[in-house]
Amino acid sequence: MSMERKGFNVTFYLLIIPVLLWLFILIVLPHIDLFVSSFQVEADDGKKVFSFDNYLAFFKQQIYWLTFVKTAAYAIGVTILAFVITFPIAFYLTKVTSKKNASFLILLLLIPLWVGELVTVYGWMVLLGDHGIINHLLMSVGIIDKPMNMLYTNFSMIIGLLYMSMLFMVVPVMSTLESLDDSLIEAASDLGASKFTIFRRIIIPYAMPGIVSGAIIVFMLVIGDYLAPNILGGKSSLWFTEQIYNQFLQTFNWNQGAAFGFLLLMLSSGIIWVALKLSGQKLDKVGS
Amino acid sequence: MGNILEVKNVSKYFGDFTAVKDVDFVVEEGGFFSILGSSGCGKTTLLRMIAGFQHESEGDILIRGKSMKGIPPEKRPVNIVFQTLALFPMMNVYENVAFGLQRKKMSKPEIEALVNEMLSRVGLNGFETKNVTELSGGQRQRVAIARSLVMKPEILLLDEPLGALDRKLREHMKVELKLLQKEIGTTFIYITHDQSEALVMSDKIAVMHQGVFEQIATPRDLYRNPKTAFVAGFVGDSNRFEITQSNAEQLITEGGWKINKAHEGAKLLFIRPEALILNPSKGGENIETFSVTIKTILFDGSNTKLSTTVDDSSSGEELLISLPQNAEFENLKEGDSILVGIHKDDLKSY
Repeated sequence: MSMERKGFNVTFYLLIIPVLLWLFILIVLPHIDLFVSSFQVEADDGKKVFSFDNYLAFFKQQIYWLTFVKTAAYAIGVTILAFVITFPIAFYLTKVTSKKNASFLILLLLIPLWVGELVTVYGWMVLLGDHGIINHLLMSVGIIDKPMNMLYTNFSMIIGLLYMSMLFMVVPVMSTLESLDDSLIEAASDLGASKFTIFRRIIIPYAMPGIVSGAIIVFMLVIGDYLAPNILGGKSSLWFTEQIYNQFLQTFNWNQGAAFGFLLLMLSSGIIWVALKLSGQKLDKVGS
Repeated sequence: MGNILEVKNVSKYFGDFTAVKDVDFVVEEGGFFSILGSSGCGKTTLLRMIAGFQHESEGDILIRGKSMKGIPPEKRPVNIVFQTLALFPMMNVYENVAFGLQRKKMSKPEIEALVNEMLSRVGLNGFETKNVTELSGGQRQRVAIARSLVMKPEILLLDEPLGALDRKLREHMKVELKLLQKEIGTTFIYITHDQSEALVMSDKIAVMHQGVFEQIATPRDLYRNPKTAFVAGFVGDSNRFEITQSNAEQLITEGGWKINKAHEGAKLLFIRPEALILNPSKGGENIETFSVTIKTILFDGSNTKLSTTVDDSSSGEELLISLPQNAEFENLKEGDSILVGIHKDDLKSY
């Protein structure tokens, strides 16, 4: 018995070591380094000294925290839109269509992921541009007589963000809906509930863990995305990740960039914490 | 009392498959009506048609004389207790029971009074704020029944609600359900594959086989006078014999055992183990006697049976006989020959 126990332990450690090494070398170490440098500023003599200035700059300079507020607001909006658009899809795939159809349709949903974000972003440019496919079609049909300005606006940015993140909402919502016993829906209808009541009182609460975990993933992906806001959003849509990028690679102020990075991590985690509290969900339940 | 439910020549087809075929019956108000059949016989389909989740291909279902055609489940005066119970896991006991009343747009105090009354009726006072996942099987059962009964349905439909319980609890719930039904007087339609459940609880039982009702009768009648060979074989235990010849006086089995019963054209003979009398007193006019040899004793307490072979049968046809557990038969052992009698009315031939 004790031998078996020991054998299990050795195998366990052998299996866990690569994961721990991966996490430590690629995630923990760089973060420690960034964390330390976020509290440093370069003094006049070129030496690094401890300071809170990098963090204070975020609050003192309006452009920084306004960018963050805007980014967070848009990320929340995109998350809600992703839920509204994908919930009917998830419901249809799990409860309405046959299993065979569903697996084919899920495959179709996955295709954009195979292509990669950069390619899909350029795909949207082709579609939405002033001389793009949509404008061309609308003009040739005669609905509009001059091109609509869609590309390089908040609209095109939201489309791009939605497109890359929607799937991450569908999958967890589907997995909770799959375990929803059809007889719960029938029982509610038997007790006199309308379709809307069944949706609001039975289906949504049942799917809540999936919705919240999907929302966390989508929110994190969107708030930390760089490509879609940068390419599709153009000049008017400044994203907080672009501020970080600018600090690192344009002004070469790595200390400031590191502080922004940690602020993004902390503030977005704070938003998720508030959202969990508001929805009455627990992180361990959502994660499972 | 009048008929609360009339099912008129209802059939249900799924493509080429006939799930329910020309079923026709009535249920009296306040009765406990069971539909008994093995799985896949169409009983669940029939129940779902009464509830409105499925639509009959032919025929009509009337509740209090009113056709239910085109009336959706939420508008029908029936409620159903599902096999899986289908309690709402996101709600506590109180919210589960109150769910239907809230849909009726009743006031809060009204709902509270009705829910509390129903919960005390099923013995669940003090469980209001418990989550349904914290309850035991029997308690969940009672929540499901309370949730349906609080709606004051004309008919309560029960889809094998005891199926998921362990044996002991099932025995207990059987009695409890029967008492509850008597007390509140709601008409129950109960479907089950367990004949003991049906026999204990029902006023009337319909035996269903391959989408057809074989017989509708009281439990006692069903057991004593099965109308078809299927019912005779399905309800209770029976010894089954193939009849190869029959004439004006006798039935002759495959193995050549001659039985003095007049039924020309009979193909099958059923004899219940408990209908057989060991060492019958001679001279009873309607008692048929014959000798058997004990092969083995299948001891099972009050349910002990003798496995015997019929001496007159050349192929040694087997006959199971119930063995009363009293001192008289204590000394029986394997290989003994024993005289057995049976009342002519207990020889069921088809």
